Amino acid sequence: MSSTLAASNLSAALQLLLVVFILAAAYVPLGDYMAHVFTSTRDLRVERLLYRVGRVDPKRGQTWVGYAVAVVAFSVVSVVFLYALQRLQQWLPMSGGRPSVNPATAFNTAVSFVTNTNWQSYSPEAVMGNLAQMAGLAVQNFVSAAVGLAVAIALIRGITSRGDKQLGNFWVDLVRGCLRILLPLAIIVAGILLTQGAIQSFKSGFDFTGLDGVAHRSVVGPFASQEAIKLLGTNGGGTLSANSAHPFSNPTPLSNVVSILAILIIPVALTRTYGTLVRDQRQGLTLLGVMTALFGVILTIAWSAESHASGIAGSAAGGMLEGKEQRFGVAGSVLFGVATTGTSTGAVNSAHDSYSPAGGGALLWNMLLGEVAPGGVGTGLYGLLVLAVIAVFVGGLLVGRTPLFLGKHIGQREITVAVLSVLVMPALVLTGTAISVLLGSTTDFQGNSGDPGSPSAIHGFSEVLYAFASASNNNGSAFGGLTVTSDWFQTSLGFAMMFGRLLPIICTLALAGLLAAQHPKESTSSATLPTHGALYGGLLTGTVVLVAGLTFFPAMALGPIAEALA
Amino acid sequence: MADVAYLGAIVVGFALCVVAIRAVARRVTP
Repeated sequence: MSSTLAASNLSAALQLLLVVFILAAAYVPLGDYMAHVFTSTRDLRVERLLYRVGRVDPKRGQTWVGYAVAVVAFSVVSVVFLYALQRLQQWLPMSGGRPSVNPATAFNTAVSFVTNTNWQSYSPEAVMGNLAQMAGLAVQNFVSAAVGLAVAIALIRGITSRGDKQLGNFWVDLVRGCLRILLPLAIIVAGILLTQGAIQSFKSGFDFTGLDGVAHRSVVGPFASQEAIKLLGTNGGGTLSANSAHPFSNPTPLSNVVSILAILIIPVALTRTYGTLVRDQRQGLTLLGVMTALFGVILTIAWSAESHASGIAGSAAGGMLEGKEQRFGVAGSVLFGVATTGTSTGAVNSAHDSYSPAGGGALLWNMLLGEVAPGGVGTGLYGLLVLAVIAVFVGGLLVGRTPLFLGKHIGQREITVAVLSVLVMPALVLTGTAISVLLGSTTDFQGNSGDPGSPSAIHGFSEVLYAFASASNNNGSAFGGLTVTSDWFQTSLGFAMMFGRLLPIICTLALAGLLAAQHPKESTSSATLPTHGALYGGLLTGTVVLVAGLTFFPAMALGPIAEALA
Repeated sequence: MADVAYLGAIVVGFALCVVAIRAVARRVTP
């Protein structure tokens, strides 16, 4: 082993240990705090003001239909507002002289940020002014994350309900998630990033003379504050094209570790929240164990693949350094990459397209698992809970036990909406990819294409598959090499993001409503399958892997697996 | 014209979501 590789592995191990240590320290206090936020009967003064302005009765509960209609209504208003903000940019203040965003990009971006995807088919510093960034995109970074939190909490309320059919109030959950959880954490993270040198400025830029003696202009903006919620809300849409690889956003190895922590901390702590709310910490710890196991496997594959030089560029450099920022090295890049694709973040500090086939394939696989390791803010928890319901049903069938999930019967209706929720994403990914590669015009937008079966054509297919996996899972990261500014990609990926977000939410809330309508039965008898412990954790892990494995293996075989074997 | 098309796409997309809510509610309501 070369000394460079040994140093890189040591660096990776130290970063991983630091991340694990801080996550462990924050797990109980943050998880219990979030449980308190969503069960408290007291409203803050500013919250009462918002409810008065919005004519919301905070004491009024909603059924699953009311909750789902509120989510959809909030989303459509948000998309239209964001679309208008971009289309009117040239006439609005703080645009820095930028023209209005073109209609296709405005549509794609509006849907992208409202659905917590933050897929960016534009160069942020060139296209978006400070007003659109701050009043539009950053606001959605908060509220789209809070919507995910709200849906997860609504599902937990459905599980713990004693038959009253109420899932809480969406508007109250939305406001509390923003004001009591995301905003305080974002202030803390932004402060830490500022100490590391991240830029926070309202100037549009500054001029300088480079080492080449030529005058350049560098863009600046309120990067530290936007970076914080970009990561905490598992959003990922940056204010700079280089995203988290840019030194103005992520200046040091320490800020890189803070960024990784910001991505993981809420999804991980939510398993504690779940355990606290269902009054059985074993339930939350089992979910955390499943998330950790999946994260560990993906990290091991990606780390192993990127630790060995392969390919022309890798062999020439003596390591897989193409597309990786030198401040972070292989270790900081891989850990960030697995964290960002295992959540719905999509922020990048390295070029995923430049990873080895196995490394890039592992990141793609991480999304295709449904982003449950540990998943986005709220989305990871409710995604895994839906799979947990499927696992208890399958397990019940296998061993002949009554399929009860925390005292709630899992019957035909429950399993139908759970399966529908899980099937939406694969349907969008596979259909979108298939149509795109069949379209003759798609090759015009591919940097990698060629004769069928050639390495370039295989990688081109991987890029299209990655794009639809990212959009349909509301991740937002991208393989480079695919130009996604064509009308087809702008529109099809826009719809993939919209339906990939809202249809699973609708099915999840329907599941919550069905569970809420039931009176809990005694769930600890020997006739029921326990939903905690290593046995059930293994069953759930197997369900996650098999659902993704069986669905996506053919597509993966045509892309990353074929690349790795070529 | 493009604005009308994309705003129309937004409306149709969200209308389909409302249809999905109604369809699921009809089928799963006990």
